[in-house]
Formats: sequence, structure tokens, C-alpha cells
Amino acid sequence: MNRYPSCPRLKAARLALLAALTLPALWGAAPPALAALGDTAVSVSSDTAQLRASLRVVGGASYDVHELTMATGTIIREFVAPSGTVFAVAWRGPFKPDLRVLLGGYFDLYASAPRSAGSTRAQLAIDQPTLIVRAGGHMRGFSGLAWVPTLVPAGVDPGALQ
Amino acid sequence: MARALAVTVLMLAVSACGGGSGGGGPPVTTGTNVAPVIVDAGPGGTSINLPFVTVTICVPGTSTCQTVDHVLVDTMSTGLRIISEALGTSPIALPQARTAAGDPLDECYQFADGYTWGSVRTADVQIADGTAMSLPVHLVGDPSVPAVPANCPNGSISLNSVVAFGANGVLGVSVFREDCGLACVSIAVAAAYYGCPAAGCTGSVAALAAQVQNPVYRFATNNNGVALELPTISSAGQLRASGSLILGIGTQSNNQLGSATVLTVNGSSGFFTTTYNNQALVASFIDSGSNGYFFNDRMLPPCTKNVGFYCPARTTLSAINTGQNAVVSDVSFDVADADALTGNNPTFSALPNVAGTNTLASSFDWGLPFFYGRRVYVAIEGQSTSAGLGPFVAY
Repeated sequence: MNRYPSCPRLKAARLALLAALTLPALWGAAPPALAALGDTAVSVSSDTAQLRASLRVVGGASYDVHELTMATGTIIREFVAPSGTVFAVAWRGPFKPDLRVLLGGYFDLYASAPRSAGSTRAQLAIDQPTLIVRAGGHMRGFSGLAWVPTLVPAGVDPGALQ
Repeated sequence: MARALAVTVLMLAVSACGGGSGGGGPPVTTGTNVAPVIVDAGPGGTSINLPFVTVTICVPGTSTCQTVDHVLVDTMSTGLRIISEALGTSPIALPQARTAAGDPLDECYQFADGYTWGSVRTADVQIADGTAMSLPVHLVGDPSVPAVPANCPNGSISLNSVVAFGANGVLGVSVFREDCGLACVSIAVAAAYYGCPAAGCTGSVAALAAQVQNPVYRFATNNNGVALELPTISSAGQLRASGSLILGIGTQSNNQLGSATVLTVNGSSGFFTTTYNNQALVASFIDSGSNGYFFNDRMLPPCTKNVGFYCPARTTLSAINTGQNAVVSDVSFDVADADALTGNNPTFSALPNVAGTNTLASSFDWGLPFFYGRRVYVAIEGQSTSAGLGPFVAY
């Protein structure tokens, strides 16, 4: 806190963490600012309620990470650019999250896009100009990463997010 | 005709070598607890490196049975799933499983890119001399179930037909007892189990005993796991390969662990760690349902025809597998030119040294090539073996 006295995102992070620790029943009413891929973090508050998740927020140099832990144990991370836009989402855990909620306006593209070579029952790759997906695993151990290339902040390697 | 000729030549070659472990020859291991495994072109005629077994399913407590061939042996999924259309036009009538509320119990089962949707039914399931009585199984694409619930596909593709799935079913013999486990007992996990009364399907909890289960866990004996073994095959590949699915671990003379290295795996995910190029890949696994080694190495040249696969001149690589028990295993493996392997012998279904990229940065998928020339044991969670409790893999 002292090292970044002027960082409003860090402050928001601490408030959200406090809410998660003390007011689990009220997330829907006291939104901790989550968003689907491509949406603005401060404008959408529905994900925690829809995904039945708890939230943790970590401030970073180039982006914030909003981490949700769902009741099923699956962990979701939303990567938020300084502009407030969610430029990538990642998931890891026993079950796939509701991707219609998580991918938002990009879900239809996800569902319809041709699968890149190498996609199998255990692996999935999508390479579209506006959506890249790398996912895989099996029931009890799924993970995945989706990002919008045009929204990725300068200097960030989206493929290395997790 | 050309294909039949190739088989004949291959069998002659094997017997001339005094072998019997390759080609269309007999399985390496014999015994009443051994189910023959074949790696061949499969129901679609185009499979490469997929191991199939024959399973018999019966109406519980009766001799009304049906035999299903070309069921994929999968060490990374759990339970028996039969594609409905594989049962033909007069399938046996397996009883529908029900929720605690008495509604029909149906299931949506998720793969990384794909889903299966169908009823949960009970069957007596026979594999070699093992029988699981009244086992919940997944009848995929069952025409009697309601339409797919809206949240089941989750953006992925339907695998409800034999062609789409690439097999007549899948025999999941992973380290787990049930496909979902405890999570589905307390929560109606989305896109998993559903209760489907006439009014429509809604997500449902499912007790452990009601879930689709590993048949091996429900056998009277040899119920602590399996071993899958395949012979060493020619470096150019073979038309097909024959191996064995051996029931039980350390329970009979033909399934002893011997000097195998035992790697315990994560009790939640089934994963262990593979260290490759000094990177610890924490979501690694041995998967008979994957048809190659899948890992990332930017030094390996990509193929031009089989995009996503590697095409180096044959090269030997190494990795280190580490179990939860801190047991360390050095593994040496070869990767060859996948375009050359498939191009030189387009009809071959058993190809060694096939590898490709992995969509996950933290994963090494030891697929079927790992099984050629090896016996791999998969011990079920909580089950006792001569090397301690599962879950573990050993080889």
C-alpha cells in the first residue's frame, strides 16, 4: 500500500477482498466488479452471482487479476487491462466453467469457430483474429486460456498467462 | 485386398522372429483376467494409435447381453460409455437409472472439446473374467432422452455418434472410482448430471453409487486397477498392434508390479509432474486415449501435413516424471517425422514416436506411443495393492 499510494486499482482490490471475506452472501448486491471477456471490469457485476464464485483480486504492473473460486473448486482468473477491459480469462479445476458467462460476447465465436489442427477430445485450440483459445484436460482436471489479441496490453505475453 | 495381403505378410514376419507380440498375433499376456486389445483403424477406418477392447453388457441379472467391440480403452476417463447407435437397431433394454426423487437420471459428460449426452442406465458389465453387477453406465446419444439441455454443450462439439466419437464407446479405467466424485454428491454441478422428468431436465446431484463408475472398481476380484500393455512395434509402424488389458494389480501371477516404478498422482486431478527442458509441467498424465505424445518444444520442427504434430528426423528426447510420493523416473523417448510415418504407410494404424504440441503450457500428455513396449499400471483411488493404496500409475 505504501509503495503504491496512488494506485486506485490496488485499493479496489483490497476492498473486494474484504467483501469476499466478510460478505459472501451479498456479492450480488455489493458487486466486486467482474466481467466477461471483452467487457469492462467496472461495468459488469454479474459473474460472481452467475458462477456462484468467491473472489480475490491481485493488482499488477500491467494488469489486474480477478480470481474467482467456484463452489465446484474450479478457479477462474480474469485479466484486466489498465483501461478496465478484460482481455483474457483462464480457468483451472475439476469442471469447465460456464463459458457462455465467462466468454460473454465471444462465446458464439468460440462455439462456431473452426478448431485448429491438433484439437482432440483432450485438447482444444482456436486461432481467430479476435479470439485465441488454448484449453485441454479431462473431467476433474480441466484448464484453459482465452484472450482477445487486440485487447492485450503492450508488453504482455498472453500465452504465458495462467 | 492390399490390406489383407499386408496383414498376412506381417503375421509371417512376426512368427518368423519367434515373437507373437506384434501385428495381428496373440496378446503378450494370457490369463482369464486378460482382455485382448487391438490398435487398428477402428469403426471409422481412420484411427491411429487408439487401443480398443470388446465389452459385454447385459440386462442386470439376466443373460440378455450384447457385445460391443471397438470400445476405446482410456486411462484418463472414468466409467463405461457406449454410443447408442453401436448397439444397432434392436438394442437390449437396459434399465434407466433414477435420481433420488425418482426422475430419470441423464448425464452430460465433458471432454476438452466435445460433450456426450445420454441416459444413465444399469448393466452387468463383463470384461475378460471381471463382472460389475448393476453398474451405472452412460448410454450416449440414447434416442429416448430429452433434447440436450442448453448448458450441456458449453460451446463444444457433439460426440454423440460413433463417427464423431471415433469408437463404439469408451472404457474409462482411470485412477478414479466415479467420473465426477464427491463434488456431484453435494452440488448439482453444471453440465454433469440431470434429473429429467417430463417437465424437462434440470441439474441434479448424484450419489457416488449412482454415478457412472469405473467397472474395475466394482469387480469382485482384481478390483484395484488394471494394466495396459502393448508390444514394441516396428519403427515404421504397423498395420495394427495387439496387446492386453490385464485386470488387477499384484493379484495374480500375470499382473505383478515387479520392478515397475510407482508414481502416486494427485488425488483430485490424477496428475503428476513431468519435467521437460527444465520446466516442471504439473498437469501431466499417461493417457491411452491420446494418440501421441503431446508436449511443447519449440526446437522440434512442425509438420506441414499433420499440422500440430512434430516432424523431426528421428530423435531421442528425455524427461523426468515425479510422483506425489517424490519417486523420480527418467524417461527416454523418441520422436519421429509424423508426416513421413503416415505418408509412407497410409493404412497403418499403429505408429510409434508420434508427437505434437500441447494446448496447455503446463502439461505433458504421455499418449499411446508411451505404451508400445511397455506395461502401464493404473491403480484406483483408495484400493489396496502390493505397492500401497491407489491412486497411482506405474510402469
